[in-house]
Amino acid sequence: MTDSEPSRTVSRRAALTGAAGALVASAGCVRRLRTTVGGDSTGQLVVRITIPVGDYDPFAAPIARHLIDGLEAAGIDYRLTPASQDELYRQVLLAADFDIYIGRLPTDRQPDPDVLYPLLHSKFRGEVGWQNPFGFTNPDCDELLDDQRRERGTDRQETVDSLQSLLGQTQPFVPLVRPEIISGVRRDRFDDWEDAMTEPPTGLLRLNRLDADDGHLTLGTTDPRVTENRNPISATYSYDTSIVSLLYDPLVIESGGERRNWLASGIEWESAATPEQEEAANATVTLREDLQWHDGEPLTAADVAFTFSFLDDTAAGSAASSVPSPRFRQQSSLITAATALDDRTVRLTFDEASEEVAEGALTAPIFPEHIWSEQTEIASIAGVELSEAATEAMVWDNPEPVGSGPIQFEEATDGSFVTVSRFNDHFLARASNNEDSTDDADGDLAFPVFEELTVDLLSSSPVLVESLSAEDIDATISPLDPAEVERIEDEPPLSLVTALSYASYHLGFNTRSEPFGDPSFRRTIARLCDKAALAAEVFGGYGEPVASPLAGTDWLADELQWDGTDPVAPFLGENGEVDDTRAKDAFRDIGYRYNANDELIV
Amino acid sequence: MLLSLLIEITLVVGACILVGAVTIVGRTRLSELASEFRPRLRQSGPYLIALAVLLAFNSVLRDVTDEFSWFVGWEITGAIEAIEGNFIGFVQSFQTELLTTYFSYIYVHGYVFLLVFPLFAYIALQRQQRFRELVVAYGLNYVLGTVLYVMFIAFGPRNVGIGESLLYTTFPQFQTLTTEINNPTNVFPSLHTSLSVTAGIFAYKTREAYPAWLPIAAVLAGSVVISTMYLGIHWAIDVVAGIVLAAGCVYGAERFVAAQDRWVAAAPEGKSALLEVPHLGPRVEMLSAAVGATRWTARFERESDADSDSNEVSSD
Repeated sequence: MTDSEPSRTVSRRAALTGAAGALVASAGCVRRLRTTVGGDSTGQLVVRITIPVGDYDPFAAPIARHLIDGLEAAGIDYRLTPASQDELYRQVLLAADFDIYIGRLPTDRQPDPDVLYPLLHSKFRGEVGWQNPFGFTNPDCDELLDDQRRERGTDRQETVDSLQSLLGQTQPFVPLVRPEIISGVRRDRFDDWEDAMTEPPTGLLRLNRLDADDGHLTLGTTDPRVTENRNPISATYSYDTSIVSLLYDPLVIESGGERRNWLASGIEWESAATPEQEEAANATVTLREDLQWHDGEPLTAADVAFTFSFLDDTAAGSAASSVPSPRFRQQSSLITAATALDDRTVRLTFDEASEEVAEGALTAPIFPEHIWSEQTEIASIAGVELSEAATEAMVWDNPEPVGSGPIQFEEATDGSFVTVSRFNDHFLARASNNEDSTDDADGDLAFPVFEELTVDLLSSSPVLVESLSAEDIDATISPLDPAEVERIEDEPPLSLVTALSYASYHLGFNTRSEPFGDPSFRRTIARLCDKAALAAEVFGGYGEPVASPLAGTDWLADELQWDGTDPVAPFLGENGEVDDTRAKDAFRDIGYRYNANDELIV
Repeated sequence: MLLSLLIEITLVVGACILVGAVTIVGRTRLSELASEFRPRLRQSGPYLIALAVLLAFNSVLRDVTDEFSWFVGWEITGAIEAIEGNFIGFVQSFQTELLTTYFSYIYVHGYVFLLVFPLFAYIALQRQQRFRELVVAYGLNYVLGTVLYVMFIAFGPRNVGIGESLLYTTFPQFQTLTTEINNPTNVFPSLHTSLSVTAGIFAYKTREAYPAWLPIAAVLAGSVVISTMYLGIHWAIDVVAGIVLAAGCVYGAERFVAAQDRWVAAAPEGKSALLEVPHLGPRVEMLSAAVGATRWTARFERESDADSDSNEVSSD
């Protein structure tokens, strides 16, 4: 920068504001000013908080209010940026235009530690979607993430422990509360809802039909997305909790923390093992016989091979660089090559990973090549390509999904409903027709007991309960507001089913921008949240405070166990109230400064 | 749930209009209206049809404009909160069960009655000027409101944890209706406020014809305005913007109708040239209304450009 530049900038700005005469500053004067303040701003720090609003998520806004109280106590100003559910993910996951967001982790199933790999590995920071949305770059973290992929047994547990404690120290995101999802159900037509709601919608395969004459199951939701978009790889979408995950089949299904063969009838591993490590070099997967897509086309090993190369590059080599899917990166990043050997056999080659981790790659849904190979062009509007970062496959609504899952798409209306029916050519149907089948790979997951299933979009928790009471729906599948619990309990035959979700509420930081790139700053922000108070008040007790994203699994590190307080980011106050002095001292201790008005300045 | 609510609203508002017709409009005007119904409808009907087309168009467009709004709009929720803070929380601190019930019914039933009754009352007047002005003012409210909704993305206080969502927790069935006709990002400005204030201003302007309507409309409009805030649906700033919008729309509507009257008077075939199209059926009337509307606009633009520096109406 030359000496004349500052003065030129100032006089141009001054001229623009129409006060040219009053603000003629010499270069020297400006230099003095710049030295004194040590930067170009002395303003109070303003933090943008992006939250999903709407009746689908009654918790994010009150969590934001709690955080805001803490920020104000610490002399930090805020701007709330509310957005609809899909707009939130567009801003956070696609545009990285945020400071802090409040949301839920993308997995609803019991996670293997490897779910953290795409979420936090620095090699994904340039990708869009649920790949490192925080822009987090930490070499130690990368190393631990790589190591846990290769290790076995206690070695892996130790690495995962170190990883969790590193996350506790650096807080790229702050796990807050594991929500207990509240559902209202009717037991007069279907039963075994406890099993069904533990892992919806996979759990719906455990549902028991009483004497529902027409076999039509109706569920109520406040989440409009499934009525609008049924694309499993769309970043704005919650795949795990949507019935879309029953429209597609993986090779191996994950349910209740266990994996079982699904489309695969057998897997042969070729691994190179040492006592500490093993490397799954290859796996040969044999598919079940006579698999079909919903449109009648045969499902073959070619579709499987296509799926893994498609998830790795949705542009199929047509773009300058590959355009990976915004979802299923954990799975696709494990596989380096997938080759169909014949119609029913596919050979997978893995990146450095143990069998245990490598098997996780097989949980990705399999896509029909004849449909998705036509969606590999760069996305465009009216013929204009938007950017090299998105393909048609990523922006496509997939209005009439063709999968191979136990249910098939029937019809839908935007903002209103979706109806699906049983897919009678599914392998589960064959198993249920053949009682003597020795094939017990599917365990307690059975062919659906309902012939048709409709998901109705309703406007709010009270309306959901009202519809349940009026027999318009059999159960609710989006989280109910705890305020509705009493009514459900008081009104037989309605009954309450709750299930702890692994998709924890968390604060996510955009570590690409200051001061959020500073781990000490992030940890002090975390200390402004009383997680126990949030669980008790915002969630009405239907939630557990957590300090690690692996809370609730066997992988939770001892030192991150919740013991009445947060073990790594203890709250700077008591009973939900931040102590002003302690909060400000905490920020001072890590090098932040306050002006005369007790405002934190940057 | 939605259907029974619609039936209920129709019955309640219908009953109120009936009572209003007898007490406020009066027997003389009613019998006059009965005998002159067809010519009046022919004269003013196109305005109503144009408004209906506009509303239908608006409801079809709403989802599109909403998506578009995320693309081009300015997100102002945070800014609104930074200006007015917890004012809505303060308003809600006066809540009682009775007030909540009162304002909830005002927000739904009272509002519909306040907007629909004057249409009926003004078509019963000898001169159709007020009726046309009112219809144009309603239309302007919707058009300008939609433009503002595209320009500004704002969520209501109930969505962002300021105050409670009183209406929807107390009367969840009302939400099945409001989600049908509005989206949560459309709160700036408050169209509930602007349309109610519009009806209120007209009640003032017609106080000589309908002296009893003015106090009723004033109380109703005031209650609707407060209800939007009390129920946690709108910010105070939305309400202020709604009042400004109402004033602008009334002004614009008066100029529009006056300009149109002058134009009809100046037309070579006399006053019947455009609006009175006997025996040709409603299809043609609708068409002529649409064609007429564009011609009026063109005419109006020329006039307002010529005699005024403020052409905010014509530019929309």
